Amino acid sequence: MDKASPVLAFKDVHVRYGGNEVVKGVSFTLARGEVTAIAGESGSGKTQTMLAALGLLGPEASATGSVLFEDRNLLALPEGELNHIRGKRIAIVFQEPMSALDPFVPVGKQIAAVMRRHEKLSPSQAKARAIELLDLVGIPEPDRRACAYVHELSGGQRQRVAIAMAVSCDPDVLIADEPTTALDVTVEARILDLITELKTRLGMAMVFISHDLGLVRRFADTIHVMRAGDIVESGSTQQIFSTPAHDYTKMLLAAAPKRTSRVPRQDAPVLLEARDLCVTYTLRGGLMSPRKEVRAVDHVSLALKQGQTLGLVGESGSGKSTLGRAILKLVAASGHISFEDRDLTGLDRKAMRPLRHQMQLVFQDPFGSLSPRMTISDIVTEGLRVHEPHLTRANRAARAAQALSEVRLDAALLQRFPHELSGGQRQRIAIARAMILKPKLVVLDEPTSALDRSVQADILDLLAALQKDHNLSYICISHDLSVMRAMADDIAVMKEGRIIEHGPAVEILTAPKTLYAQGLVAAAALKDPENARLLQLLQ
Amino acid sequence: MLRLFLTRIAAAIPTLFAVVTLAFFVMRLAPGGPFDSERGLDPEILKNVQHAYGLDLPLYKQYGLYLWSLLHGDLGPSLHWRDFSVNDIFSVALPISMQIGAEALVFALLCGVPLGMAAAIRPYSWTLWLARIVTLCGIAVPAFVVAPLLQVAFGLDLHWLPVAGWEDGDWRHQILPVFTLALPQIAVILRLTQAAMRDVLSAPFIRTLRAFGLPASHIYVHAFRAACLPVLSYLGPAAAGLLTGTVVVETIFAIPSLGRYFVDGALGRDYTIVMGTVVVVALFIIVFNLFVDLAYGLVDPRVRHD
Amino acid sequence: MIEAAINETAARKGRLSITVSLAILILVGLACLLGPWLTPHSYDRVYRDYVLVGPSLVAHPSAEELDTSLAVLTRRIHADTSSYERHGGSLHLTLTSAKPIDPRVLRFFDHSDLFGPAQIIPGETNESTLAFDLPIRQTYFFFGTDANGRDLLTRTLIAGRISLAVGLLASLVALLIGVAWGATAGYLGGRIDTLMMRIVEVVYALPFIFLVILLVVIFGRNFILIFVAIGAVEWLDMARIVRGQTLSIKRRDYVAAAEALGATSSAILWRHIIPNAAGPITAYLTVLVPRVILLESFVSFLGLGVQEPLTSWGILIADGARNIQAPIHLLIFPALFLGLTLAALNQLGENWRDRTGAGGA
Repeated sequence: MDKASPVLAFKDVHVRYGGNEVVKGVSFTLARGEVTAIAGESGSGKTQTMLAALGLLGPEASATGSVLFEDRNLLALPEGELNHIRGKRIAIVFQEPMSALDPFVPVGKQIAAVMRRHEKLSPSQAKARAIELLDLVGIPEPDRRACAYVHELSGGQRQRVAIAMAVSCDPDVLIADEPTTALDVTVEARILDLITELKTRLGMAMVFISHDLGLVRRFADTIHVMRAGDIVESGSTQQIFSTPAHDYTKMLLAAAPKRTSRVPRQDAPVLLEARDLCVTYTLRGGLMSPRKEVRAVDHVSLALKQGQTLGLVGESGSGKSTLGRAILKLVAASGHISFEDRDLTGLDRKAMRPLRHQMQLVFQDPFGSLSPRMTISDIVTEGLRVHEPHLTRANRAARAAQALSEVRLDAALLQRFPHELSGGQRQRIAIARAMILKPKLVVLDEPTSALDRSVQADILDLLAALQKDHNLSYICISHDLSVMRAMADDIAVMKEGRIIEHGPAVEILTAPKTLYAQGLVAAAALKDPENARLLQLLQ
Repeated sequence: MLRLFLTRIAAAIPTLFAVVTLAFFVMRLAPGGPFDSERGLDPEILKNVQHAYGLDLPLYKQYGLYLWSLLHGDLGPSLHWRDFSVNDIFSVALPISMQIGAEALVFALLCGVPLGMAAAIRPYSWTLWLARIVTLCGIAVPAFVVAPLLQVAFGLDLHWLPVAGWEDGDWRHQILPVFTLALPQIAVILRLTQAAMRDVLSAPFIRTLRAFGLPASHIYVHAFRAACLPVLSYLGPAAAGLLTGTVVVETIFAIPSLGRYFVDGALGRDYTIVMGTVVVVALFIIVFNLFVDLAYGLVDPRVRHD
Repeated sequence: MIEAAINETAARKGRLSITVSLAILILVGLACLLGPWLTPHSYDRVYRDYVLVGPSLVAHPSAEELDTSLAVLTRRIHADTSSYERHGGSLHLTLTSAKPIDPRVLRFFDHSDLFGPAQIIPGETNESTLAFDLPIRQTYFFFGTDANGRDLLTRTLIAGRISLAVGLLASLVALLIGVAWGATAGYLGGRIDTLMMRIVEVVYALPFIFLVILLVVIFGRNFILIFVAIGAVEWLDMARIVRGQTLSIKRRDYVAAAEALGATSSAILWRHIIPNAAGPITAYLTVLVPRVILLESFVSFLGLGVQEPLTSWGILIADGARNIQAPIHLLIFPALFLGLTLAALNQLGENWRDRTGAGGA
């Protein structure tokens, strides 16, 4: 086998589920030691293509075409022979390590099982090798950790275990299916470092699947852009970033949402003030562990002016969502909250009710925030039933239509059900539901995180426009700094329930003072395609 | 583990207490008394008998006395079977019920679990059909239909097995009752295992095992560990279901055990027998559920640490 | 997109199964509801001459039955000989005797279930010879008759009314109590939840049959009270399921959104929680109804169910089981109906659960 021939060659691969074709004739090659990235949004078929190659599709799927590995067509191999290749010559790392790993077996044993299958090691040899591998992927105290179960590890550690398992038998090809999408930003950066380091050390070829082009810029040699089952553009990384040809590629590369030029009034009155807010949870003990008290929000103070946007930034577990809900008095909290000079601290549920229309909440997950059994009309007008009960049905319908047009949706959608709409449409409905009550404050909890890239910018534009029209105040909660850049006037950085840094957005984003904030900004900068293009131009 | 054990026992005591109290007062609500069927009993003698059993005391006193004797493990004298105490009767009847119940449960597991797994994995085309038929029989053909049919077929026509009776536990007399009792449980266990296996086999971690080239045997063993959890959870209700079934099976096969005494006792207003059964059954179910929970914790490490 | 395609193929298979199960249930239901009015027999009409007759598509009386009956009747009226000729649907009977024959003996023939009123033929009759035309009464017993000579088909259908009615009504009781209890406990949480579920635990510690027996013994064998007793025992599982559903729905974003909008607890329960729990509730209903029907049969089998003249499948099966030496049709036919109903309900339930993705046995 000469060096020039590719290690993997996909030729006209089709994947069908019954009448639906999800992969429509994909062809590309992977050379030895090459890193190729497959980029695309959800539903593009990128994962399905790779699953087909390894024979991991479900029984309802049928794959045609050829995937050549060492002159053998993987799609035509019987299961027995395929098993000698899987895990040993071609390995895969999945997106969600929590569900991808066996919850009943300690992690060391899982890695050992793979090696014993392919390399004929004795149990003690395999165990020793597993501990070595855990050390290789950067897990502290590997001999102790090898006996741990998956749920006892953190997200980043779980993915490291999955990577250890994948490289255990020194494969020729590593397939990484969105390996960092489920992880926090800082963890993501470290896992990417680990992957690239292993790749160099072990000389593997790699197929890296991602929805984020900026992410793969650093280490991919070639990029294939997929959309709806087709590869729409292929080229070297440099080519794709400097001269993208296809419109879709250009759209994916588009810079982060633009900041609308808007200067908040300096003399605006203070709308919301919070002092010393604390939220504590008690975790009930399990079979063996005692009860624990967790401080989700730890003595937080902040102030928000009319027409202003405060950004809350932090990773998962930082308490930012809890803080948002505590401010709205949806979660029990101690401390002081005042809204428009009115003290909310002592108000019970009944007393809060008439005030609620002034402060609303938009959730992260458009799938979960709309009740599946209600029509759009019912969903949007639910608030009206509480706060303006004198309205007749006709009035409510009129207001609903008005609210929908404000979020740029057709009033015909009023009779539909949530499952009939797209993610972007659902998020607009959630916004309409909040706006129909004419609130003064809206808490946006990760408003775009669950949406495709192409939709995110639209939603942020809409939110900015609404803010301008109605002089709204926003508390924008997100882990994504590009959203902060677009929306926030001030930013508060949260970690483990506390605000560790607070200041104007420009300052925080360009010159953060705390180490943690610097880490966040640096990790985000690595992914930013605009940043990448700048760097490209400079080189 | 110890903490769980203790907290559960502590929680069980008020439950048991409530059960006993509830049964005590509900039973007394029933019209009639334990001696109504005694024909032509002289009112004088009736009064003496009632006094002898403490039935003329105010209700709360009777309740207190009963609780006191209960704490000493004494279930009282039987009002119907006059020469025996409830403890005497139960010491004979209880082991029989336990034996039949336990055998039926084991048999149901031995049949249901492998069939369920086979139905999910489908190594041969006929396994699914066999599973379907067994399930159908267990669901659609209740114990009191199966039993007579079996009695006719095996007892009267083929003369292979005795039609009824217990004969002190002779193995031939156990076959039909145990099988009849087990059949509906086989159906449920089969379906649970099948559904669980099918779900697990499409779980992401199984896909990972396949992705790493691990052979089918390895995969099925690991899938089984997850798939047996719903069956484990069902063991509690299964025990309850078996107890329900015993009542009917014992009647049809004329086996002298707990269910028979309970029904007769309820009809004859034999307070102590009824209370005794309630106490024993409730205690058994609580303890059984406790052990099932512990076993669940052993199998599923996630529950251990929560 | 992929999931939709997979679900599509599974849905098609499920639809056939659901249609068949529904068809069976509707047929059985209609048969039990309308059948007793359509059959020529009433459910309590006793045919003394047709005791424990086997099922047959052929009309009774058969030739054997005719002969036997005639022989018995002849003996009873102390006649010496009789002969008969068959003309189509009636017999031409000639009785002879040494002693004079009183024409009133014809009453014996009238009282028989096999024959219609006798017509004396004057021409051939004299003192010691009685000739008459005896029309044969054709009766059909498709399912045979029971030990009292009652038509089993009609009785099975009538019994079905009771069994199905109890099944549906008791399930309704269990549904209402269970949903109300479980949703309230789950939503309010805290101490109220703990208390309510403790009560469930206490009642749960007793197996159903003991409780039902106790209740039936105390309140007597009243039709309404039986299904209240069964419903009162079966609501427990429903309450647990609804509470579980409520707990998980409570955490969903749309409930938090409703709270942020300021909706009241009852509004949230009605508008969000119960409608979204409807899937698993309905799924469990399809397990509950057959369980209830079965429980009623159990209770009836033990002799604690509905009282005469009402009957249920359990009672019929008990009769059949008791007479195991007798022809087996007494057991088979009601058992067949019961089994068919249970199987169809269970199949329906399984398919429903597959479609909505709700689990649980």
